[in-house]
Amino acid sequence: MNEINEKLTVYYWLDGYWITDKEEAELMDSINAFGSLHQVLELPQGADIDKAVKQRLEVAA
Amino acid sequence: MTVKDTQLDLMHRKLEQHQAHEQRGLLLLKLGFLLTFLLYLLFNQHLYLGDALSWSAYFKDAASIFGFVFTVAIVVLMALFLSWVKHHAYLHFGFFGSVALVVSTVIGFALFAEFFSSSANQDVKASVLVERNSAYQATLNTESTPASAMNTGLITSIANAEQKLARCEANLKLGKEKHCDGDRAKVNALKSSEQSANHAQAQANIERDKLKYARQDELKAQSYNPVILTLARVLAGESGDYKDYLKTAVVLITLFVAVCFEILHHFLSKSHGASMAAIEDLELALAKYSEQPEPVLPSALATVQPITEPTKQPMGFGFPSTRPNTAQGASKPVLFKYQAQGEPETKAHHPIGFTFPTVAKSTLPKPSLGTQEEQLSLPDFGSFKARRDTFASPALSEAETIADEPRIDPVHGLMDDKPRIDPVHGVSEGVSLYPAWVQAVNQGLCKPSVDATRAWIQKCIAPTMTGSKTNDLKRIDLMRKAFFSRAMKEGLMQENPNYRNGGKKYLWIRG
Repeated sequence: MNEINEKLTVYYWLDGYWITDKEEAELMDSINAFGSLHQVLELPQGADIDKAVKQRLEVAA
Repeated sequence: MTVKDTQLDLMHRKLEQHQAHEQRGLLLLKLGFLLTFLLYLLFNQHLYLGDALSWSAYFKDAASIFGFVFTVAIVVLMALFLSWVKHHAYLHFGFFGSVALVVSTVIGFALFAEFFSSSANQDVKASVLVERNSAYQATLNTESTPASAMNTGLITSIANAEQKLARCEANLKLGKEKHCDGDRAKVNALKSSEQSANHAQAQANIERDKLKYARQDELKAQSYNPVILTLARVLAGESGDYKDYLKTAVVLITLFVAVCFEILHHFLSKSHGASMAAIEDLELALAKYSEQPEPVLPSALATVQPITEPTKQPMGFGFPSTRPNTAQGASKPVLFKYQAQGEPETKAHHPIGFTFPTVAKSTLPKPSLGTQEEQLSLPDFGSFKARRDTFASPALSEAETIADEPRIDPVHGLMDDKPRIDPVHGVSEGVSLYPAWVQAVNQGLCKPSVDATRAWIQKCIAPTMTGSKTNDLKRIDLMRKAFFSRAMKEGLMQENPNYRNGGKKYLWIRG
């Protein structure tokens, strides 16, 4: 239970923009708002989201 | 044959099928119109002219003939008007949907007219059948035996006894007889017998007439359709006389027939509307798809183990699943509802519009997943990077060098170098909506206000959408909020610190 609470789900796009609201992410995908479909990243609470997203994008690149 | 050719061929075939379906539906509607006209004609005939068997009375003199012709003209014109209005109403329903008051009026009146004339016809038919029934005619021709014929012997006896009594009384006056009591008693007895006999005869006649009328009623009832008789017996139950329920049964059965006819007729109008919508959608899709270049099928898609979510509901305006599905299969590129609206039957197999870039196999260790999420391989976005001035994340921006990296502009999207904005029709297919909106605001095509942005989004996504979903303002406002949120994160806009009611709530920073 505690483990679940400690996780933070981040929804990010390939242009680096991210949000934490899943419904908003799906809504944006439904109209092709940001040019790609969102990806999901789970991070510990308090993690540096910008840095984590950037790392994911760089590794994938 | 290329994928595009196959796709076009399939769409053409589907269009031909829809057109044939529509032609058939229209033909049936015309037949329905003709039938309605005849039924209304019958109704008006019963209402204004009565049964045709009685029309001979109209041809006695010139005045009655003129009245008859005048009434016939009214009957025909009224039937034509009513049936035409009904036909028009059904076509109207096909185009614009049903209007409750008109539907109830048109169908209600049609029902009444149909079962009014039909039930009258049933009675006429039953009368004609019973008139031709020999058994029924036999009951009509049977005459009761006259009472006098039955009592001839008794009358003769009474006459003889009265003659004898008269002689006795004459002799009594002459003194030849002492009394005539015996003869008088005989006359009285005979008369009493005659009265009894007459009474018995009358009773017998009454009983015979009762039997005759009952037989006639039975024959009349039997002249109705067996289905009507069965229903009448059901309505009468155990104790009732089914003949009393014949009219009710006729009304119910004709009402049932009329209801069925009206339901089918109304269905034709719905079918007409649906066919027209399908044809228009297909023609639009054909026109759009014909202008598009050959779609690029995704290749080298990574294999993933998706976490199935069987009960998950789709989001948004009935758009395809918004779950990230970048690596679901080689034959299923990502499409958005407003991009593939015109081709509902084949969109699952043939990509139209927006296609996702080639996906590379992920070498990342699999992160831990939530219960509602799935691990998907990342697409190959090595050909783009975020630009410093448009990122929400300062940390990410600091690490980037614009000159060395391949040009990636999140403002202009990943799929297109530049959004294609048509001020009238919105955004071209395949274009990312947010960068297009940013560009539209920069170009002055859209104000950075709540209402203008909502209208802009709706115009972009609505043209190819149908039904009430286009009016989901709440969802469009959520999109608008998401756009504003990102724009403010990217420093493109900010809330007006001096906002007053009626003024600008948001300020656009980048021009």
